[in-house]
Amino acid sequence: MHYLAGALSRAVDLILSLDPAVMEIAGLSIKLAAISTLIAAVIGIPVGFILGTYDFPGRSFLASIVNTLLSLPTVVVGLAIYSFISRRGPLGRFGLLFTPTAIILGQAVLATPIVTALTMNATRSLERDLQMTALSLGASRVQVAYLLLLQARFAVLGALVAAFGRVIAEVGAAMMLGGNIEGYTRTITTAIALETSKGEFAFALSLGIILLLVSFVVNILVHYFQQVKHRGGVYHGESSPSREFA
Amino acid sequence: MEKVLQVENLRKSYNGLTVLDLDSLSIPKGQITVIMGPNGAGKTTLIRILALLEEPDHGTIWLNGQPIPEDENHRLVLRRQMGVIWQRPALFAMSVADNLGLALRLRGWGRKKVRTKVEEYADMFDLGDLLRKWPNELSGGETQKVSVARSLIYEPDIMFIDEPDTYLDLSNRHLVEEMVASQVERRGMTALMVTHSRHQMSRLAANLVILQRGRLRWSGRVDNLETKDWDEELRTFLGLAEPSA
Repeated sequence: MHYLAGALSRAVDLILSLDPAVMEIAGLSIKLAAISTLIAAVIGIPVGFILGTYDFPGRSFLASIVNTLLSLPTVVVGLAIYSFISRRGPLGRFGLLFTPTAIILGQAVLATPIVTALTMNATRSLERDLQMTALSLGASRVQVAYLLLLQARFAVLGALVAAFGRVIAEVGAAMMLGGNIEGYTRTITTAIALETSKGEFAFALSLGIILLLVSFVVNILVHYFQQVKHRGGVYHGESSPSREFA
Repeated sequence: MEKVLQVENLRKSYNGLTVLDLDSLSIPKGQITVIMGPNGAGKTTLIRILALLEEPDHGTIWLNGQPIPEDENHRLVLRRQMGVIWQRPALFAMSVADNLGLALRLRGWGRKKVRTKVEEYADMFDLGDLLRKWPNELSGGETQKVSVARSLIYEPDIMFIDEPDTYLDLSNRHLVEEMVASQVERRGMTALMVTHSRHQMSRLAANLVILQRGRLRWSGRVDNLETKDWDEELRTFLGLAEPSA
């Protein structure tokens, strides 16, 4: 118990003193997760929007694939990308293995289905009435798409935050693709795994606390976006004065 | 009387069920025409088709004597001369002021012009206190009032109105009727209104169209409705007294 308390107090010291090693690892983790979330946004938002708003043959098949990809195990993603970028893989000549780029690649693969699926669900739940209303107000096709996306913006932001939360906390892809190289590809999660096994408990704990704090903020944001996403919409309650919207 | 809209051989079916089957119908310009008919008569479908929001399976529509073009850019220009007030008002997740100015911004108006116009219409509709609120903070009546103002603000040539009263109390009903009627009078807007209320019809309509099971049952001017030669069914539908013997 004494050992635990001591480690905890040293961990807090490391954070409060902005220990360079801790900060560097945390900073790199946040940066990599942010970039991969951005990539996931660029791919996932349009694809999710199309799957959510338009009906075309094969839509529901594609939707179920996206939903399946939501639960991709991180080590499988790591393995799959490893096989592509390792020296003997088809992309081996680019020398990507054990670089930050490799981690970003893996994390983007993990984050994209999350952004796609959540955007798809958010735009799918928009009422057809809104589309008709936009058209009847004189919106062009492009403007209709913009308005629908605007309507779903809180849910889409929530999707981005959720994707960020998933990738910053994953360890499999970062470990397998990044190689946990100090000062280069060492992220919070890979560092925790390593430092714990080395017995550097306080150091690992300080990173764990930071990761928890990040998750906490992520969850608050996701909750916030879920709360506000219903701030517009179609009026349903005829007689009820409850001001209910869907 | 000049016709603003004419349709011929208009058909529309959903899942094999015919909801609209009109041989011919024309809507006079610059007046209020009321569409009545029992549920399932095809009233809302007719509005959606005439407002160019839905394609008929078959048939021709003329707007001001010109057939409706296929080209989407052309249709957009025509759609922008029309407005629809829906039975279920749908506001976007933005402030009331932004909702009111939305159609103007879609048409590329500048910020200042939009704001002036929004203030003018907020005044007219007594929405001044609501401008900064969001849709989830509004009652049903307020929501509908915002949606009516939002459609009238860009002063369309033709306004389609689908049972606007559902969420309005009596005083707001009159306000909305007054606003529609004043635009008809002031600048010759054409209004096509679906209603179930015979009183509303007789208050507002210059012309009446009666649909039943997707077909045209009757259309014409509403003056001297009592004396017209109705069959029994329509007489009951319109709530007219039996002709005195």
